[in-house]
Amino acid sequence: MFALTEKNRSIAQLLLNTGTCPRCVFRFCCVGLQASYRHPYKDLLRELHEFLEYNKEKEDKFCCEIADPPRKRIRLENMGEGAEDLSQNGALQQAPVADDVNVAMENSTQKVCNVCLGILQEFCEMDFVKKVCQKVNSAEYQFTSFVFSVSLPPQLSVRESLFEVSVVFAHPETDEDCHFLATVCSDCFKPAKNKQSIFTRMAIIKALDKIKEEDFHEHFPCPPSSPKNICAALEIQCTNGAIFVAGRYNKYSRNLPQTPWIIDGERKMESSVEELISEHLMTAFKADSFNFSSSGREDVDVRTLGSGRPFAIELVNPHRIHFTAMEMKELQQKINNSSDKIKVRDLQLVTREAIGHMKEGEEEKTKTYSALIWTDKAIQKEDIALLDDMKELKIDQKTPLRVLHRRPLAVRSRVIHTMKSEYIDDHHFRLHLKTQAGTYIKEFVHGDFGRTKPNIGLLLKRTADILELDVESVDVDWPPTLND
Amino acid sequence: MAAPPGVTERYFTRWYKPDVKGNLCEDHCILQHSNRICVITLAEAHPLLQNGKTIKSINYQISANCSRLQNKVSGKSKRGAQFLTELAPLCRISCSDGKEYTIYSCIRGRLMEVNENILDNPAILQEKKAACCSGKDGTSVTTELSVTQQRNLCLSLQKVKGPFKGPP
Repeated sequence: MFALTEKNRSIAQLLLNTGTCPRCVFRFCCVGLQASYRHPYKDLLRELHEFLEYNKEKEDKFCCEIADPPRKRIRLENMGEGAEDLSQNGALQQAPVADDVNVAMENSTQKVCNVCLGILQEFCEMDFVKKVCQKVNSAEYQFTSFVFSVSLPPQLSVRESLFEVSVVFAHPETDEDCHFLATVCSDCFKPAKNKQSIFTRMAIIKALDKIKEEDFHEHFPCPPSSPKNICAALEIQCTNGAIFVAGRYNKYSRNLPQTPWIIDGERKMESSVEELISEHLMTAFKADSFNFSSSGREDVDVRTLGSGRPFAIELVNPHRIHFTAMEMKELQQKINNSSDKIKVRDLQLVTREAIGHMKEGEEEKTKTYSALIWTDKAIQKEDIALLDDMKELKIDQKTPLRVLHRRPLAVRSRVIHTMKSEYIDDHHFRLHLKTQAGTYIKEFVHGDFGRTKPNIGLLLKRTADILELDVESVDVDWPPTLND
Repeated sequence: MAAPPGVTERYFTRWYKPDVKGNLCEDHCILQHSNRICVITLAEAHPLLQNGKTIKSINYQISANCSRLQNKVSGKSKRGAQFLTELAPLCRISCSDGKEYTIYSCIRGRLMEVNENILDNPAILQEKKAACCSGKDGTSVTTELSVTQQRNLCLSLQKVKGPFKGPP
């Protein structure tokens, strides 16, 4: 059964005459049935012509709407008046008078639809669909469900966390069609950043809402003119939603930064925790790029022991997303085998929530440390015992000099929850401490020119310095421990 | 056991400015961090660090309109810092023997903070802090008047690189 009914006839005729393609005609006639659109273009065109040419007295093929034949004929003859109703600017289109179906068809097939610029013509045909599928297959992505998005100039595609196939269309010939809106509704168009067009979809929609109908018709013909050229499919793009991998890392080197150390394009230190972990993940997941975050970080010369520090890596546009628990274990083993400077554990796929956990861990959770301390004046066991008795020691730390160039000058109050000393000799002892998140340990030991108070030197009435520092634990119970 | 390289040695470069403002032996020592923040300190030869000197008071009010204590910086870029030239006075120190000394900036830069601890306890200035140095001759000693500055050092500082034991 043909999709259009009698009441659609006049509109359909008018649209077809002005160069609108069958599928757009359907859209204007509110045809909701998807099946109607799926027929091949040529068939739709032919059927539409047949529908318009033959009156209702021909049975079977066409609409079943009950209407009086005489009334219908009158309507055909009054095609001109009908058109007048529809277009207020007086651009009347005369209905073709008893045209031969085939001639009309020929005329139409050559025209590019004046509404969809060809997107619902050629680009809805099997050939183009096959082309898109070919592209998707050759890109070799793993995915479960996907979004198909179409980008119309200057429309933007809507992003979702799924596999997205986006087709970007451009039609330079009609690009300036919407420019008149800028003169009429100038306040809807904000100045362009980076030389991008001010004619964004949002701006145009806003302007169309605002503009008065008369003003619109003054500037833009209704029905719209037929373009000469078809729309061009600029690109077919595939992107996958980001994947998150979390775990905990240990750092055994005193010569390894957490993130790459590059100044003025020159690498100052070889490798980094971030790179040692992510390079294997990037390969396995076939991602374009990554973002590394962790629950705090340690200096280059500080080791991370115990169960390690939680981290999360966002893999951007991964081609591969399905990994079994076994495969994740193998990946973890691969990372651990590749370097003795770091080790990872509890490697697992997680959700975007991971980032929130990192932040929380960095700002709120306690950490424990082990520091090797030197004193200028000799010490006895009794001299350092007093540290063990101090609980919840409040300290004030001005921004350490070593980071003052990139942080604001401020005083931070922090708490040293507990301390445990281990006498080594008359100039050395080891101190285990449990502190609040965000405490600068080195400065607590040597005092940073008196800018951290109290400090170990003041507490022991000596001059103290820190020789070695290790992170013993980061007290966060996320990500979940896996049974290795 | 020899003192290990202390904080100062590890992260700071020492620059000396002897006989500041023509005053014999009033040597200043600039500790420049690798991130270019500088700490202005007194060098060993400075009269204030000699035996028997007692500091009575320290005054950051260097003129009717200017007190270093009023220096307030905000944000990462340290907006609001007082600008310093080489001969800008940082503070005036009075001793029990009646002598007065002025400490100078020695370098061009922006003042980030002054050491307020020494206001209550001037003796800190004279404390010998072994960990803060192991000089080329192996002895310890430098104390600090912690006035910290920032940013690019001027050429005059580079001209005076290297330790000076006495008048040039």
